[in-house]
This record gives sequence, C-alpha cells and structure tokens, in this order.
Amino acid sequence: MSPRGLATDVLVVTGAVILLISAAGQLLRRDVRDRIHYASLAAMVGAPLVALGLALVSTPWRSGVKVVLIGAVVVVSGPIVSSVTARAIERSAGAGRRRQR
Amino acid sequence: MSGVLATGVVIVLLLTAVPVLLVQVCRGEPIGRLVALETLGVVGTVVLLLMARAAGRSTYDDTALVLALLSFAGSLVFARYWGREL
Repeated sequence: MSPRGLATDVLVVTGAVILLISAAGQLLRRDVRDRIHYASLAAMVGAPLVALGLALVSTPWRSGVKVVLIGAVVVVSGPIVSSVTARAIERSAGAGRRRQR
Repeated sequence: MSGVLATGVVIVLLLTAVPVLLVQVCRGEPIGRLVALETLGVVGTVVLLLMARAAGRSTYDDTALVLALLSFAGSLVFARYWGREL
C-alpha cells in the first residue's frame, strides 16, 4: 500500500470513529449543553478528517479540491451553528425564568 | 479509501450512527432534537462523500455539498425559531 493510501485509510477511519463517538456521546448525555460539544466534535474534527483523507486519493485533483471545500463548509458552519444553538438555549431559558417571575 | 470494500465498511460503520441520532431527534426537548439533527447533517454529508468515492463518480460529491449547505441553513433557521423570546 502506498503511503498516500495508508494516510487516507488512517484519516478516514479516525474521522469515522470520531463521528461515532459524537453520536454515542449525544445518546449518553442528558444535558443539551453537553450534547452541543459532541455535535461540534463531529463538525470540527470528524468530517474534515474524512474529507482530507478522501482528498488525498482523489483524481483528478479538481475533485480533491471540491472534497476539501465541502470539508471547509462543514468546519466553518459547525461553530456558527453551535453558537447560535447555545444562544437559543440561553434565550429560551431566560424567557422561561421571566415567565416564572 | 484504497478499496471499495474498505469504503463500504466505513459507510456501514457510519450508518450505525444514523438510528442513534434519529432516536435523539424523536425524543427529548426541542432544542436537544435540533442538536441531534445538526449532527445528522454532518454524518449524512460524510456518508454521501464516501458513497461518491465508492461509486467512483466524483460528480456525486455535489450531493454532499448541497446537504452541507442546506443542513447549515436549516439549523440556523430552527435555532432562530426556538431562540425567539415568546
């Protein structure tokens, strides 16, 4: 196996395992704030690792660039969605507290 | 991945995460369901990328790109909906 193929296998399997850990962590955690961290893990680490691994063996090189671009979209959108979701949790919790008063 | 079989194994491995996340989408408080839906979008994007690789058609990567963008937009809309002060 070529070094590039080996690197692809390692990156893709590592990314897939991280995605599985993210899904299992969400099942085990009850608090939504904890689960947001697992969702971020999938978007920030798992998906880009798989995309990078696939880009290494992509031919022609343009399709590799596209795969990296898709990984970049996921990486950029992940923290944005997480922060917006966390803000929504805080806002709904604040509205609930105000209704109780 | 170096082989179609290895790619298929990883796809099957990732597809085991889908029912786990679907259970999360179907129960609990609404914002928790949204978090699971966001993760489902990421997992779906990765599965589509791997399926395009297994099929040997790089043009199928576009489906993963569309899912990534729509999942992002959808999550933002839902988060804004649940975050509004009623």
